[in-house]
Amino acid sequence: MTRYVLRRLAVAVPLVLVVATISFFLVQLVPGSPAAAILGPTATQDQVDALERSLGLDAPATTQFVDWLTGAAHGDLGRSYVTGQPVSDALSQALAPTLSLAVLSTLLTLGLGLVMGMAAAVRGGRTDKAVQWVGSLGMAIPNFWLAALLVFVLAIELPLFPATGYAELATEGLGPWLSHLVLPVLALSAVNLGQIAFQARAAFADALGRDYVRTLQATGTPRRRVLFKHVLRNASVPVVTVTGLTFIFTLGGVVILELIFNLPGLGNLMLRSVQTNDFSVVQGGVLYFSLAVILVNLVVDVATASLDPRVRVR
Amino acid sequence: MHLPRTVRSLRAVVATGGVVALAAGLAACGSSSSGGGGGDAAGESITIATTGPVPSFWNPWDPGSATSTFLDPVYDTLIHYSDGELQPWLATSWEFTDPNTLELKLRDDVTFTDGSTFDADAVQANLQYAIDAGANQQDQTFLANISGMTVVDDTTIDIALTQPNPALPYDFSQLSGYMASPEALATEDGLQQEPVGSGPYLLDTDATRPGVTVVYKRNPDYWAADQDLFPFDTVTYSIIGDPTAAKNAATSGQVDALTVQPGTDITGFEQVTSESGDQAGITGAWVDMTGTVTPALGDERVRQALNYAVNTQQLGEVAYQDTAIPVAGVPITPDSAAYSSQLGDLYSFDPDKAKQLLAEAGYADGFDMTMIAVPQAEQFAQAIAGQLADVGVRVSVEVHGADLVQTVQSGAKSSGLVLQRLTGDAGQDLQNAFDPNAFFNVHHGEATDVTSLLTQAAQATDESARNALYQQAAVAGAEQSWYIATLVLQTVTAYDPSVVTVTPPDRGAIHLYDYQLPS
Repeated sequence: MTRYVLRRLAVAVPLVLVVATISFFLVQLVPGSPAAAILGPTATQDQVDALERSLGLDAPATTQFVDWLTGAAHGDLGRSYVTGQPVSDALSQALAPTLSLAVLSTLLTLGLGLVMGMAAAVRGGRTDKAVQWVGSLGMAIPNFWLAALLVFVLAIELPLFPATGYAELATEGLGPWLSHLVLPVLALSAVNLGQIAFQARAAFADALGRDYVRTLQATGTPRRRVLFKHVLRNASVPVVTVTGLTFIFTLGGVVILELIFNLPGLGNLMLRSVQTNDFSVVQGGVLYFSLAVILVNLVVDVATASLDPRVRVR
Repeated sequence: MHLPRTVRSLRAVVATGGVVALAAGLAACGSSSSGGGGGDAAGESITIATTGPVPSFWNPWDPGSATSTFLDPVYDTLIHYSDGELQPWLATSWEFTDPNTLELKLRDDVTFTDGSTFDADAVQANLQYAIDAGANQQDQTFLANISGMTVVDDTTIDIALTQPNPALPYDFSQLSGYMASPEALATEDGLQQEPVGSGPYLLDTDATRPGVTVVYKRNPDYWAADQDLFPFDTVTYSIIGDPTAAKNAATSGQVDALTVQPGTDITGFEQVTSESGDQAGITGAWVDMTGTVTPALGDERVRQALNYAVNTQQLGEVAYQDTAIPVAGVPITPDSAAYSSQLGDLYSFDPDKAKQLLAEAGYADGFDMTMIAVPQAEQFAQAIAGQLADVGVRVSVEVHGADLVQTVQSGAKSSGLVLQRLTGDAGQDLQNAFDPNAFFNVHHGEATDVTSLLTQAAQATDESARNALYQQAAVAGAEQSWYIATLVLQTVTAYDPSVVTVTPPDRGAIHLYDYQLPS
């Protein structure tokens, strides 16, 4: 397994480098100078030039790239052009809400989705129909609409949860942290729940029809043991893969929910940085996203490999 | 395999109970955490939602610095403006000793947070810095008029002007009046990361999250602490870009005051509309009055025709409810001293007259022109274009975001939507609108009759004579028709009356001292 992980990591390093290079030079193509955006329309060209010099933006793009890459290799992603804050600090602060949202949503959808999928496959009939109905409904409802509805009902009409904002786990504790995330997690999970439940349902139905299940049942193995030890393990492989993909899409797709709930996450930060031409943050954010995607893929690969040893030898 | 029904029922009850208990626990935590709007804190803290812009620097004189929203807590202005009058603050009195010299008398008990003293030298250092650095455009009109400064003594400074500027004391109550520590100003990056002023609050750098919240705590050494002008111990600005999220935050008690879009209703909040504040300004479309890009627009009759062709009143009602005030191409509203009935008679919606003017100018078949707009204003631009199409003028709307500045400065477009902040001073607002070096006036068109009248007005010592000249300048400007479909926008401020009462001034910025405890 160690060799397998090392092999995957060896592939990841050049991938990060390629993503970083492409994104750096793509950002250079965006029209508009960061200095002009910061200073606003009332600034003179001299003032814009002076700020560009102080930000190092007057150097050739290749020089800027080498400087940035050297810094990045040492953990220094530079400073935000707009706020002056170290980019790594800004990204780390923004990473916490986004990761909290994505992880909680993934755990919720994975847990519920597995239960729903298993129940649908095992029980069939009304349970199956109910699962399909709930899953389809979740996928059909736009999450921004559901978010607005949840805020109206559970934050305004019944003031159970905060409508907006984020409480840091380290400083404000578990309760406030969770309470601020309940509504965004519910809004985010609705779509993903259907996908995972349907995937789990298909995987369980497939596994339940296999010969080894019939053999186990014929040998008198208790049904609970058959389901949870054997079927669950085999059915989990495609579910884990889908969950990994869902997590990645969730990371990239939380912008709207972060806006609605005013969560100071990566999506909000990236949107604001793009709007203000704060390219240093955009560049750092792209790097963080690519690292997150690679890491999640690695976790999914390892999980899949541990569930299905055949994967390791492919 | 199937469990007995009673066991399953019991499980369901336990599971449901657990979920309810968890939800109740989280809700309890949530309400204790999110009630930070200040309503439960005996009026000691206030949270104000703002869309930004996020402060980049803390030097009040740098373009791109924070707006008055973020500067107010940490910097004092020389003069305050409230109840429609100028009030002493860092300057205890002011007087034009002659039309070209303003003498300021200053307090002698103020120190900046870095320990340096506020005195006449500090005022000189600030204004000199502003002149040398080419401060914000709003300041440049009066900065250009300063020909010299004389420090008479520690508490007296004479400011010599190249020409009279009766609005100068008012300027010192706005962005141009913030005084920063001269020692910090002298350091290259002294005000990049943190403010150094003499204001009632200190920036709480630990609690502040750049781009998310800016938190200020009371300055324990504030020189005017006994005046109770700043009643809140903590002031938090929550930067919320989405108006719906801001409204939800207010509705659920997380925010105590905010600027809202016209027509927004927040349960339990009161609203006040004013020609001051963040949203106050003049909007409409500037046109290429020199005719460089679109020759037709060089003809005054054509520009006037465009104004007659657009139903500005209707546009305003649709886009801004009843909070926008239609004006005749100049930033002068009916309650301004520069308003006259002659101005009010100009440009009522009259498409026939527009066609007649176009025909007289030789454009009976219309002409083509471009209009640039930021994405948020695209619909407004399209609405103008639609009405101009009815008189034969074919407008192509182009949307520009990040490259807006470059697009305007390229000088290749016929017109564009503009949102110009207003100072509230008729003379300055007219001057800014007809400045040959204005941001959009890339071909440097001139309105010599307007500027001549404004110069005469500045030199008039009698207020009624000055206002009469302003009225003439306003009419002359309106007849030039540099702007079409113009509306003066107002700011709608919503606030929780159990926490705060907001009393905006009739012009200029809404300052932190306009936020008071409810009586």
